[in-house]
Amino acid sequence: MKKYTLLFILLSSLLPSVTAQEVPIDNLKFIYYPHPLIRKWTTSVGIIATTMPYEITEELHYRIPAIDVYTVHRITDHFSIDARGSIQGVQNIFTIGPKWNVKLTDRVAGSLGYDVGYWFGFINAEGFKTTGHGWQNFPNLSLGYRFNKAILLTFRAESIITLNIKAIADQTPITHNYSRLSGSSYTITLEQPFYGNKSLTLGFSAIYSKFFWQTWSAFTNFDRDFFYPQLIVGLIL
Amino acid sequence: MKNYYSILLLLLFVACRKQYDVALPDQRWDLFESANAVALKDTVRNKLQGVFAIGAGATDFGSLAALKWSYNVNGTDTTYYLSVFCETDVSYFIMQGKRLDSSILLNGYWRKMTGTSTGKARLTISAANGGRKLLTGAVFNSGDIVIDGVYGNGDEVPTAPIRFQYARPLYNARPLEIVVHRGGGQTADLLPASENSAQIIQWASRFGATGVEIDVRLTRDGVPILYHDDNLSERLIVKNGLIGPVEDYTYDQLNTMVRLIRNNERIPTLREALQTVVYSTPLKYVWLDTKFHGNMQLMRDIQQEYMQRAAALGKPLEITIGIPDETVFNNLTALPNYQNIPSVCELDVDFTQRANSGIWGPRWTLGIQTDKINLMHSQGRRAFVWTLDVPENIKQYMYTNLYDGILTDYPSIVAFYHYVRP
Repeated sequence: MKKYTLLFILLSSLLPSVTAQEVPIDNLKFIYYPHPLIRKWTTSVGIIATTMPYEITEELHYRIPAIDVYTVHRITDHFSIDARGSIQGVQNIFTIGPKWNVKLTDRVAGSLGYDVGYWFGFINAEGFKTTGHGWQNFPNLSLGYRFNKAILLTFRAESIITLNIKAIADQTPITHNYSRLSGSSYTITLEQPFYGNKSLTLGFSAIYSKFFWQTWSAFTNFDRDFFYPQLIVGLIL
Repeated sequence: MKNYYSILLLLLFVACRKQYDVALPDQRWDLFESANAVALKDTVRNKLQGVFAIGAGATDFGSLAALKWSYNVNGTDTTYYLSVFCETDVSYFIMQGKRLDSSILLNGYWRKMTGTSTGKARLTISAANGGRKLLTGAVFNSGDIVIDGVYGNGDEVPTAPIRFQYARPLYNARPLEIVVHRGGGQTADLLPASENSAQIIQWASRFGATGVEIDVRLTRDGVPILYHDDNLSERLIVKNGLIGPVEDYTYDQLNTMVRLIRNNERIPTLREALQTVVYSTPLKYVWLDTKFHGNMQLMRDIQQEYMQRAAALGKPLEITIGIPDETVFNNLTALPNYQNIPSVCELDVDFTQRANSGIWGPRWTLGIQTDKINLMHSQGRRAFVWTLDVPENIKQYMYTNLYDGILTDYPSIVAFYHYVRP
């Protein structure tokens, strides 16, 4: 956790100062802020670093951050498609889903969405000859606030629904006992102009779940929620 | 702008994880503690084992249970425990028994290992429900012994009814070593003692294990101790400011300054752990998981000493040195007469043959390796799979009839599937 804090402070110090002058929403790039989209496409590239609970990973508390590619595509004034991939190589997830965005006031916007996710992974080393994949859905709700500076603050809550988990050790199917309603996550992000015409996203996510896709290869029996804090850093292109 | 980022910083600090714990329920029961309640005789305990059908309570624990006794010796005192292994949610009961007139009382607690639920259990075998038959040594058949009682949540007075009815003897046609990980289970499962402690080894047979796996490291001054992780960490020890590998500290430093996380236990030496196995438990197998790279002569000497001590007691005990990697393989095979050292090899069958290991220990995530196991069997070796925790896969691997042992964090479910086999 201290590492995250230091990273935030470091990144904060790198951010250019922003004048107090009002910036029209049309001039801002955003990907989390749930305002109706102005651009046809918006894409962000970044990383998501997740801290794993000791109960699951034991000595290995931190894992390699996932490369995060997030694209939203404007369909109509209020309707968009979100597509996202988190890639670590040995385990990856891709989600896609519709989102309905609405401007509630000059400064407040909200959205409702439903992402369908497919994760997969494979390990063939260190005594593992396993592959796994599964479906998870993420119905979500976002609420955003635009400060008079060019700062966009978004809170997103999503439910984590596990539809299935399939894993195989060599030829042997591995059984997973999972809860369909696995948990929920709560994310807060800040988006603001960075350099050139790029914007920066900094976010923190708190996942409380019985199953988190990155732990598929742990094959645990725990039927209790674990906490997975995530740091999100993205550059909106 | 700093205010905005302060929000994120604040979130980092306020977001927190729920702290789970499982405390042993208060097991006092006045009737059980009454002066008229006396210890059960060996003959009664021996008969009160078997596969029982669960009537009331089946929703929580499943339709069958395997009842089996174990014991712990403390000085001149021996305490006997009746474990009840159930299927649902990897649940079990641990009870003690007494005779009260012509009835048998069983008092203890239950636990579900998939979660944190636990509670008291109070059971009775009345004279008419088989108590008299058990106490007099009379012959009984399926359905003759009925255990009735109640269970509850936490420290609440138990009120939920439960019934066990004798069905058949425990399965024993094919031997299976049930080896519990880290001396009795992992700390993450919130057991009554810390993993790799001398205390948890005393619990192992109550959890269903017939053997234990323990992790052996060397302190800076060369004392073999039990510790799993590469470093001192908040996962295993009470925070004390010490960091880094246990190998950086002398035994005295660790003994003075480090306490394990569940019950403030000391990190035990290998000798203390084996002392517990030999003199306090019915365990008959120990897997020494070698977590250090160095001279293995002292570990070998201790292994030999405690096998001799067990033999002197007439107690069957096999202690094997684990070979988890090629460096340990080289260190072990550098010892004189290494081919006579009882060992368990986690490497491939070729290494197992070269070390003349009596046991081949493949990781379960490599799948069921029928051909290699058959090869090992044809050479008079056994196969123990590790670390298998998923109940359905435990059953699947066990019922291949290929494996001679299963290393697990959940010995109670291995015991259940093993003993209820028809």
